[in-house]
Amino acid sequence: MQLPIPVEENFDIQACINGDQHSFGMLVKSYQERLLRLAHYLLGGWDDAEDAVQETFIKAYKRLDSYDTSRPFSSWIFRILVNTCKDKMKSAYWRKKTSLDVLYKTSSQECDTLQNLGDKNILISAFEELSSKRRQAIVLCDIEGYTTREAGQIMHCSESTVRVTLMHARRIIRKYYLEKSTL
Amino acid sequence: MSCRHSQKWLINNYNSELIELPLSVQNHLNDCIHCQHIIQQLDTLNQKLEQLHNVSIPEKICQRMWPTVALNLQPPSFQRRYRTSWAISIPTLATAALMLALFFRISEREATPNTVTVSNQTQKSLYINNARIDGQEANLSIYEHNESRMTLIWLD
Repeated sequence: MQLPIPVEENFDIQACINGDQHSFGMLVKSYQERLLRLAHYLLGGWDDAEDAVQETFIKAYKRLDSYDTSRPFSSWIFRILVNTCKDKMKSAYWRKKTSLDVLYKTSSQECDTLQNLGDKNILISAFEELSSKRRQAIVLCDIEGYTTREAGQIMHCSESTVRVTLMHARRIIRKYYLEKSTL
Repeated sequence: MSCRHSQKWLINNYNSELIELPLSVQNHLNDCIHCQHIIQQLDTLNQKLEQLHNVSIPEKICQRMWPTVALNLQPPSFQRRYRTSWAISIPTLATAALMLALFFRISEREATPNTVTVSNQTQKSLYINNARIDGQEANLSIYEHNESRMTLIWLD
């Protein structure tokens, strides 16, 4: 499993807390790709992901005073993103979406590293089988490469809960993948 | 071990690292081409999941992210929230204290003795020192009006 790409923390968090927008701009540029990718897999489309990430940065800037500087900044901002995505998924707009297929088809065409589009679609459909929590666990640990401890900090639950959630999520995805790929 | 059991075990436990493979599963895998194929598929699945990490993010989204966020930024809310919290909490605390005071005052008034024993004395306009009411000592003045059968007890 590949490790998450290290974020170059070339921004001054204390300056951000003091309201320095330039430093916060550096922070946005450092984190935007990771946050967009996570939101994309949680929400199923780039448009929703973009909205969620913008909202996350705005919330983060507003609440910077509540950030505990002794803890990793990435966990804090990722948690805001996960909560924002959860709120979006609870919204009436989201419930109207009966299927994520259409959205994912767009993204699958952009994913040039996957040679077999059929396999990609199976994977994406498998994600739909997962609950929000399980999807978070699989995206954070198996796609983004976080440890279960880090994922627990982001998901606001214990490491053991993440392990169990991940185990169930993997089981569902494996079962789904085997069923569909043998058809 | 049957293919069904082997497949179930692999789905539940396989994670590309078959370090502690049970002997029964291992024996089955040695002979069964079908289950070997399942392992290959599960390896492919893990690779596919890892490849999802490399999804390319549309460039335009990254380019417009900061300008859009910058337009909607509000200053960190530390000072405003600090003032707001005190502005709200002082009247709230005062109201709470007033309510508590009223509650205890009302409770005190309502705490009339259930039983009054004045050592069998039923005299009119009697003043009794050190009477015991509900186990507590008090000075009582008792006024009895025979016609209306009303007794007034006054606690000093």
